[in-house]
Amino acid sequence: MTDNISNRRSWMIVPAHDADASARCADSKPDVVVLDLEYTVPPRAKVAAREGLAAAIRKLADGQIAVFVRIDRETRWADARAAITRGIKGIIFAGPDSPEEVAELGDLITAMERERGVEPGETELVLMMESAKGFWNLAAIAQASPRVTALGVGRIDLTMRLGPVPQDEFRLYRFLMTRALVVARMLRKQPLGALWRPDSRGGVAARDSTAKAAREARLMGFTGCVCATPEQVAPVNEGFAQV
Amino acid sequence: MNNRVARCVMFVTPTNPRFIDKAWTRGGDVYILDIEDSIAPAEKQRCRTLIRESIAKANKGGASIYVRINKPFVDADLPYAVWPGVDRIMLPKTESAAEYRRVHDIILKLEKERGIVPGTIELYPMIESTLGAVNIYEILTSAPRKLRSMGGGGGYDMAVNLGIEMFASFDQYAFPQANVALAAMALDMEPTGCVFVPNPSGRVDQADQATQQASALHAAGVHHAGALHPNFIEPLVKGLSATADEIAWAHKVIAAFDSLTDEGESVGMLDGKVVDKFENDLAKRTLMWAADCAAKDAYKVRAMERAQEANS
Amino acid sequence: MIKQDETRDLTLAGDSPMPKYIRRSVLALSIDDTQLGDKAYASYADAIILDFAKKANVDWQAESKARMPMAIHAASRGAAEVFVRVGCDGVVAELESVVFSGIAGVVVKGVTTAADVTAVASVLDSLEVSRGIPRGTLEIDIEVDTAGAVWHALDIARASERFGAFYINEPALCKNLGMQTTATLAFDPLEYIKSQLITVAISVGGQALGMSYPLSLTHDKVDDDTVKKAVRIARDTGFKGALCAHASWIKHCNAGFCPSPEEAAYYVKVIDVFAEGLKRGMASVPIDGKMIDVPVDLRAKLYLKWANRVQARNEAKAVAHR
Repeated sequence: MTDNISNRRSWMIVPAHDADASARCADSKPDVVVLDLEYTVPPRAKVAAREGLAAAIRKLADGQIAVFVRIDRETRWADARAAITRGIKGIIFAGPDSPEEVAELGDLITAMERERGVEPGETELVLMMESAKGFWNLAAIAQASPRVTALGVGRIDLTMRLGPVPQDEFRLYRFLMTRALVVARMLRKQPLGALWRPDSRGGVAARDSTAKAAREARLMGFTGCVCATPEQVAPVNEGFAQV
Repeated sequence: MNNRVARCVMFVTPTNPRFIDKAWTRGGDVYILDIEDSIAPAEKQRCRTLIRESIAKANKGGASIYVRINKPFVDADLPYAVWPGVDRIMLPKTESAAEYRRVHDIILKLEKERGIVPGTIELYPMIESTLGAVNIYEILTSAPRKLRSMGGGGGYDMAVNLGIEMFASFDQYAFPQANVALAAMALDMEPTGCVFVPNPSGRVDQADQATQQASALHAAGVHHAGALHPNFIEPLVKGLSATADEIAWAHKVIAAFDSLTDEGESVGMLDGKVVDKFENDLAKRTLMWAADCAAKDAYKVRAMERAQEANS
Repeated sequence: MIKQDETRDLTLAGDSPMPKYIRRSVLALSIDDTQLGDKAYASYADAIILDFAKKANVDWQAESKARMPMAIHAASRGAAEVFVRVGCDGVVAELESVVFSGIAGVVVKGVTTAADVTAVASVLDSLEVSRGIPRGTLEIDIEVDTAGAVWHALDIARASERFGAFYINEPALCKNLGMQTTATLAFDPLEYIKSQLITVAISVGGQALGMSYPLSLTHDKVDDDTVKKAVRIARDTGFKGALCAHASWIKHCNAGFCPSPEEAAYYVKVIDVFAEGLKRGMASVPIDGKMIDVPVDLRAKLYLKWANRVQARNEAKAVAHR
């Protein structure tokens, strides 16, 4: 189940409630489409987003697109329930704090797979680390479920309040990237992350700074990252291309 | 009051009237009464007996008071250091959970005897060795005592332990400082270090170095700094406060995010910048910090006025 | 020669030596190298690591056993400490074949957990008895070349009293982490890992050996000035020596991974000025605008001790080369 995972370079976020974005998402040729139930979905659109999820997943899967769903930490149980359906490749869990949370989610997925007729154990789990607790307990968290296939650096500059330092980096960013990389390589998971710099923060990054963030991350040992906009897909695919 | 605001933390030597009598006029947020390395061995006992009166001297201008004790003499130092009015005891060269726990226990006993709410004096483990840096999580979780902020993992003693010459042009404490910061964050404390500003001259009395340091810390979101010289106080206090521009921008971001939410959106743009829940949170924190600074500054002004009246 | 006042009280600076070993330059040589003895002797390296090959179609164990004692003797002629490098896979058989009197210890590569270290330690326990080596004297050094060794570094360093040093094999470690092994970044991708290994090693009283970026990865033959600068950065990071990719690095490592004569002279001045100040009841005294207080004084004393041990090591090597 973990074969070829390192080929997934670009993980493009598509707000799950946005049908137009979902219909267009293949145009930019991302390696993975991530239907988002997290912060790109406004609170009042969450219910509709969950209800439409199964259909959206099947449609993308029918088009041979690898589909993941990013769930919201706060509502992860309902989100995971809505997401497990035939055609889904996996779940992205952003911000896990403890092994127990990951194990619990793994069990919930197992129950859902049974209920929905999905091959047991097929649904992958991607952990995007966003908290200090998570980074401290990294190895235990990544080993909490056999479903975990990738380990990544999430939006730590924002969630952990890591402002820019004079070296044109975010405070502690490379330390945390290093930790994620070491654990991912030790446990043979795909390491996800880009060396975003203060002028290249994910959400607003221009083509050049995105390409640089991806390229530097590849030289550091990472093999893919999340794209917040369709424009980031091409530079990310380029930056992570194995030369 | 309000010891979260520690924009400038400065050591003073209680045994030197020139420093201790004047400290309150200098405008620092926090003064550390030192019984450790700035006090000669022969002066230690005299210094201990001066701590209690030094608290009242140094906090006259509204500053918070910390006391730095000697690791080999915790039993001798603590009875002279734990008093009402002390916010934090600093334990130098902390290396193990056991020694942290032991000091916690002594402080607890003294708090009870002296009418201080048990557990309220912070105990700050100074991480000045590699052993302290690798044991940081065990140290911080070894006693039920609050600690708002935590940093360290560098400095003279760490340099000696590492066998390096200080003041290279790169960060020589990358791992020890980051490890301390991560452990602190994992335990919900504010991490105060990990912003490297080169200082090849090694001098600690230059105001422009302080300004540079303050602006780097401020940008990184760190609001704590130490000073070894009075020249550092003003640049640090000023440079680590929330600015009028930041406050105005924070209000705009919060208003923009509110209307986004009303419109059923979650991500928008404001003057070419992304506005989302993260930016909204950041803006709220900016306003909280601004309010804390304003409260501390007002408190210092009132204290300063009272003290000047009493003097005249 | 730096003179040290015998009456100076150094007890405050602690009893454990800093650094643990004077091992500034290390050269790896193969026991198949016909000029092994000459190369080791001419190199002036503080330590020699011996490598052996597990050749196919040959009883490599018998061959190693037959040749290793001579090789150890040859490698130590220039007063270098001698180590043998073994791999974690099949380590019992390897140790059986290479551990003989005359080595200071073993360097183990491919370690991923603390259990790997305890396994090596228990083999050494019995080999010391069977091969007439004083008990507990053989050192275990770890060549860090896996992600597991990095993540478990503290447990590994604490796994055995025998632990002495981390060697960072930068190219192998980069490869294991999926990093580019050519130095194309503006920063050292191993910066935090190196700092971690240095911190962990010193926290248990050991030390770490490695080279600064980019020389750590390029291993290029470069001019003297470049090596000198790279060694200085490595020393300022906390490394106490390096495994030299080229014999030409050795003299720079020997000179650079220790206090310079100028620094040593400065420490003497610091100690004297501070002692004078203490007599007058002052806890801190300025030298050139810098305040000298207890920590600075202690540092000067400790580093002067280090400089003197280096001097003694240099003299021992000079005697062996006479």
